[in-house]
Amino acid sequence: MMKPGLRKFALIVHLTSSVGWIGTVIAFLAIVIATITSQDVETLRAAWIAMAFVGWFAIVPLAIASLLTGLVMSLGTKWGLFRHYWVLFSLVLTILAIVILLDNMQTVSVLASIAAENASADVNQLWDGLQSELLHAGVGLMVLLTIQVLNVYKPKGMTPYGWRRQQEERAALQL
Amino acid sequence: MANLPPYSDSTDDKTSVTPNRGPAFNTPLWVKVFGIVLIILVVLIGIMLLTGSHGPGRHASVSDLFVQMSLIEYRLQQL
Repeated sequence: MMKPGLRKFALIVHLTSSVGWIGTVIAFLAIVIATITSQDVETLRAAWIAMAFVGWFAIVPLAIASLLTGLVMSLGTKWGLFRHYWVLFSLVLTILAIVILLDNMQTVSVLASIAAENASADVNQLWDGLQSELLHAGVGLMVLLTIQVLNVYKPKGMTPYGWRRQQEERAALQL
Repeated sequence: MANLPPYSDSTDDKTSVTPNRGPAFNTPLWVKVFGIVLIILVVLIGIMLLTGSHGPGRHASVSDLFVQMSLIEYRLQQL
């Protein structure tokens, strides 16, 4: 188990990366929505390049930091990783979100490189791609907010493994 | 997995041991609902990724990732 000082530090890093992840996804969504409503080709090209940079240099690092610090927080405290359903669901949803994120960022990179090609840019492909990004970022944001709700409310419910461990610990205390 | 308070033992949990009735273990309803939704989500995502109807299959492979980033930087320098 982590000492209180270390635990607080790990919690600060975890909260910063997790909330930061949500913030950067909102920024990504803002770029997508502003571009769709602008209907301007130059804005469209600039938006794809911006989305690639925001994605690779802000969203992806924060997402991975959130996962790693979440693992540290759960394994370093008595909550455990597989003892409580809310922790388990948070872990699964986080991994799912990161898999989709990395998958989608490849598409963003390709379209950003097309956007960076000056006159020959396939504008229709770039407009079509924005709809997909709206869906990805929108659903992604909902998943992240679900994880946040789980983490704040911590609904009760132990896994069979967690329950067994609890029984073992109680039995050990009674000896 | 944010905001972990000091751990509190879940003695009022449905999973706790009641001395007269023996051990009781129940899976809460929210877990069942959440689990079903999650399984459906995973299956749908798996199908989309495997069939190539979504994601990198349309555009590029994983190995192209850094090549694409380099291309963006190169083309920006050319502008």
